[in-house]
Amino acid sequence: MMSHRIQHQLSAYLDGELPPNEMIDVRRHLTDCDECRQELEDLRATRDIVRRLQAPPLPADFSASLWKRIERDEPRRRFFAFPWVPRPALALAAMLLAIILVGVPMMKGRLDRLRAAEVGPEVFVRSYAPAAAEDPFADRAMLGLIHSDAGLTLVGEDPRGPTSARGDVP
Amino acid sequence: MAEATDNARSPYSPDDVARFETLVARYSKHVYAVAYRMAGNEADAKDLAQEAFVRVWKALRRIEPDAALEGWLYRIVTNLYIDLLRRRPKTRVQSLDEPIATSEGQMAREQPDPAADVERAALDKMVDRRVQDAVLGLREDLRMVVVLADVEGYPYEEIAEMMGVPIGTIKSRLHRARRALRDRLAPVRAEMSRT
Repeated sequence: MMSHRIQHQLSAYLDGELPPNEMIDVRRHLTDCDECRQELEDLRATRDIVRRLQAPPLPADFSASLWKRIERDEPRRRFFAFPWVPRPALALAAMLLAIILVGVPMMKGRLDRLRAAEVGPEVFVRSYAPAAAEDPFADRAMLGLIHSDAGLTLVGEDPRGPTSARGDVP
Repeated sequence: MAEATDNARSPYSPDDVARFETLVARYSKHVYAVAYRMAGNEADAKDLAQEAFVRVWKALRRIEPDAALEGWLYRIVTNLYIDLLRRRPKTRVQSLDEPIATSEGQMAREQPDPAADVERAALDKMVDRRVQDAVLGLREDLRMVVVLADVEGYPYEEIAEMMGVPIGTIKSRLHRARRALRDRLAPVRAEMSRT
């Protein structure tokens, strides 16, 4: 009677690819089982036929056309290549460049903002306020900044505003 | 070859080129044979084998001078062949034993009787063709195992490593492949035993 488990081991047994204890089990089973012995012989004959397959001849132009193929691929690959620089160095340089391109503007913007916040009032006092103070009533913005609720008007301007001035004209 | 050696822009030295040529001379016959057994035609076999060597060329500087490359090359060919099947699903090789699905259920695939043309061709060549056809009729995962185990003579462990599957899977696939081939090649075996 053919054992299902043994039957599945016959190919590996044929190739000597079973662990020693399983080799012994299969060998013992084969002494008692004609069906498995026949199966083993069929598998052996099949394997031997497949082994007889002749190697196909290598095409005569294999090497020459392989070089053509490599040459065809190479220019594309070399477009951005720097063969004289080792690849790890290229990778490091690319990483540094990326850090510089992204990091420096970010840091610079942040520093500028911090600096502006620190020096802003001082710059205003030193450069803008003294200039405006020479003629304070000529600059509406200046007046608004210094006395936002003062209701001051420029020299010569109608204090009631342009609308009311137009309304009073007879 | 001279083109590659003389190319001033090449990042590879003449020594690299000479080393590569040695590798091609050493392995190309076997790599092409395995590719041919898997693909079943010269054009695809050449394409697969050459692509495997292109990868060797690209990785040449990282390859140890004394490294045994067969396993790596066969693994590349195997993976390239799987990619080829994925890219060209219409040319998928169907198992000869696989039933055909029809609107009225499944029906067995009819095969011409291989014994019919025994007298018409030189025996060795014909047997070779029929064995190759039977191998091509296997599902590709079974075919690869048969090619690597029976045609190339690799031990199971190395095949498992090449194909990235457990050794038990190799045992099982090889057994299934041989049983399928046993049935397909029964007439050939019968003829051979008569001659």
